[in-house]
Amino acid sequence: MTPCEKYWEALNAFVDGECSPEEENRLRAHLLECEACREALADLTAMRDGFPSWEEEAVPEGFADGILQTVAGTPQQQPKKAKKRGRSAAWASLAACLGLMVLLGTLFPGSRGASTANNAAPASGAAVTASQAAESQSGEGENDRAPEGSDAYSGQAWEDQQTLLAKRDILAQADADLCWTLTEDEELNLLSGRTAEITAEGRVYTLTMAELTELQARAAEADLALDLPGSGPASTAAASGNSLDPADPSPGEKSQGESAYRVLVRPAEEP
Amino acid sequence: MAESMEEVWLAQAKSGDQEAFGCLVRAYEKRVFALTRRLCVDPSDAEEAAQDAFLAVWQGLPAFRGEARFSTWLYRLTVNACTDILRRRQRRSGRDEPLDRAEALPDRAPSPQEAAERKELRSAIEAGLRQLPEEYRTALVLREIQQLSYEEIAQATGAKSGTIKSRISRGRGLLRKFLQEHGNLSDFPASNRIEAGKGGRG
Repeated sequence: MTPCEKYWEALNAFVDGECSPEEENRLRAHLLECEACREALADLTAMRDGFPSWEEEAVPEGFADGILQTVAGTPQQQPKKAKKRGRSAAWASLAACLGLMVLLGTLFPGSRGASTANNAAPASGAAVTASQAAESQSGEGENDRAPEGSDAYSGQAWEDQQTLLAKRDILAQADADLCWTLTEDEELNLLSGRTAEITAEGRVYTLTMAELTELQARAAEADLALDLPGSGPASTAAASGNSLDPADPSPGEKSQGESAYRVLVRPAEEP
Repeated sequence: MAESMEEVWLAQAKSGDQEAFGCLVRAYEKRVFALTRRLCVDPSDAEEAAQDAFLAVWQGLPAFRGEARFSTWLYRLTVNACTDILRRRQRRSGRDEPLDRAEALPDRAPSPQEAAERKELRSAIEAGLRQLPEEYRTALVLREIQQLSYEEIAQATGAKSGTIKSRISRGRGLLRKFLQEHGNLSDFPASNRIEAGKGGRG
């Protein structure tokens, strides 16, 4: 017999002890009347009892010793407390993102990113400010590829306008704030150990500001551009940026986990 | 394992104490293998995934802030390690789609020793699990074998709790169908099964 579709999820939550009191009351009342759901509940319970326990799992002999041998030659990654260079590079990117967002918002008022931008300042002025912020943040001679001013955005990036707009739509669909295009190896290198939410648009990682900053720094060290195809290294697109305030002078000093940013990683085409 | 003991090992391992880290590995290795053996499409990848997961733990420990339970974090890294291996395999084989589990199933039949040790339903559940889509299987294994709550599974997979609830019920729906088709859920009368249902963990 087939259980009622309407109650299937509640039946599962019931055997897991995850029903809300209301859900459980409704289910109990339904079970008095529905044999198919009673049968399904019995099956679910039997299935639970049939699962193995992790305690029965066999582990290859010497596994832990092998791990310790590997560990002995592997340094731990110390949490980076906003290396100066990394932070400035990251903020150059974020400032540039805001600039792009503002410019896009000017052209396409009513879009997700536009309302904030238009409320903030006259768009062209804000864009220049953001780009100047990028320049000043990255002007330590360590990032030769940083944009040199607003012209960088009125030139190369504008040529990619259609790409940017397409990306923005993708970001909206994935409910993400930033988009990186990475090869699989680059993604593994940068984001190994993190869990992504798989969407139709790509893999979405949720990062704190501090984590984002650290990744930007690591990417810079690896000569990796977290950017859009064909644009400058600091032109990561942002679809929503009102929390990425370039005026905040101390992002690394914020309490970690205070804000979460969703980064959409799309696969780069293999060379 | 006493929670306080784990906390001591954690604190020491965070400071680079390899002996303390070894204690953590030994305390959790079975749980990690229970996960990797079921999440890796090819069970021979299970050990590599477990190694990768523990290595990621070691490297990331200094930054572990204890916002989630250590076990939840460990499971998250383990799920990631399995996913990474799956992706590498797919890349190597040039296939974009996940491996066809039904097609691969005959190669992963339990060994004679395993078959002798496990009851029929258990074997059928393991076989059925291997045929589930990856997301359903991950949620079910974390729920049934690791005994995590929906919220903990959400933390370990990065999905929302409501999504986990849905994945678990859908996964169980497919698993139940598989078991019914293989005659593993009709061994006893319905009346007895109703009684069994009342004993569920509700």
